Amino acid sequence: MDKLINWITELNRSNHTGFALLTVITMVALGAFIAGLIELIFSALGISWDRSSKE
Amino acid sequence: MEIYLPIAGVTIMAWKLVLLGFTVGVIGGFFGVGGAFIVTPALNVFGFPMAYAIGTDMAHVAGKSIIATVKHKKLGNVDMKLALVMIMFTCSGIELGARTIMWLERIGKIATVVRIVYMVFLFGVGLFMLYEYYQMTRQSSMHKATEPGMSGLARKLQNIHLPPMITLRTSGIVISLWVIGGVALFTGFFAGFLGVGGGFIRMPALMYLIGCPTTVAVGTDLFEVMVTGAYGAFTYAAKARVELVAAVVMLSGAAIGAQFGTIATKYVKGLTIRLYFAATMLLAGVSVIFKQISSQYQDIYSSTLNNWIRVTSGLTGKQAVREWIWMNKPLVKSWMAKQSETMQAAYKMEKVWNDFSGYLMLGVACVLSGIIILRMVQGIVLECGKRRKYQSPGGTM
Repeated sequence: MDKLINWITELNRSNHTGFALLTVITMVALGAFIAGLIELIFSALGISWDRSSKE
Repeated sequence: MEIYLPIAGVTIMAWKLVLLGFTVGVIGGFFGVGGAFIVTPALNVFGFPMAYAIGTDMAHVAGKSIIATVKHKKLGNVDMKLALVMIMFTCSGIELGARTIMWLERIGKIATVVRIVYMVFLFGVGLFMLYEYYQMTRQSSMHKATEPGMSGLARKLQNIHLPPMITLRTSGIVISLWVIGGVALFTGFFAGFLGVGGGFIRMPALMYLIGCPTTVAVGTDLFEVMVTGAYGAFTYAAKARVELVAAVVMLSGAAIGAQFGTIATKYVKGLTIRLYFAATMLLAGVSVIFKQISSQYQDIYSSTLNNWIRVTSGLTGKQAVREWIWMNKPLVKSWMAKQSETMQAAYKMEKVWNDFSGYLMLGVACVLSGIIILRMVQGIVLECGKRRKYQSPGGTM
């Protein structure tokens, strides 16, 4: 973990475009992954929150 | 667990970031906003320099808004056609707003003008929505008035038949492309001018100017926040102003919060969403007033301090001086201890009012997200009760 944080800090210092790309890709990928995971959990539990269930 | 964030140079308890992410996630999913007006002052209170607070907020918004948008899309709240048309014009508006800021910076009136516009906007929108809420509730009982009708201004704008006309099925309206463009340009301009994502400007604009139903305004706005958040994260990271580890930790809380906030829109009436939004805008306005008071105290000592830094370090640029202050806090404190009592008192008061501003928004975020979750739980319990009644042999529904 410390090695990863050090690498991110170093990238932030040495390559700003690379750090910017890493930031966007990490956040977007993580967001999409969590959104997908939550949908999977909901469907496994049989909970539906689609438009048909909207009041 | 305490974590050290080397980019911003801050040590913080991880739970604080998770809690902040969670509360802003709830509010973001519920109102369709990024929540910069809460996260930025809160991170600043936690010790983040302002530029890092904005950049880190932008990065976490990029991830969080995807989660909330996916959920709103499933609920049928995202008008994709409207969102895509708006994005094109919003970008031009942001550019115009940013250029106006550059011009104000050249004539040296930037901070006060931006803060005054911000206050006028927050109080204006907040008071108007509050007035509308009480008008609606006076006209009919709350049980009947769940979603207010279309505003008079939106009706007038929809009557402008300037081709090409666009049919927005999700919003249930037909409107000229140029009207959408004008509204997006206007909201984009203010987003660029105030240096914010613009969710809290676009959400009311979608309701009162375009005529979208409240939940569609929330969902469609979130789609735009997703795009502007990703762009903002890129530009701030390219300027080395994003604390990526903090953004990831915040996202873990925001992911759960955004689910709650989005699901709550299913159970809370459109009119009530507007009431909560109005209250949040008014409190955000009060927070900006605190910030303005803080900056007036700063004005008392800042020029003397900046001159001393320029002589000591040889730095000239405003940004460089600001960073030097951040990196050399003990030196600044010892210099301040040798100054007059007036300057020392101003230095203390600046911090006090700045903290008031941050804690107010942090408090608003905690209380509001608590209320939203409570309303969601009430809605689910009520729905389960209805289902049980329907499924029981003697059920009448």
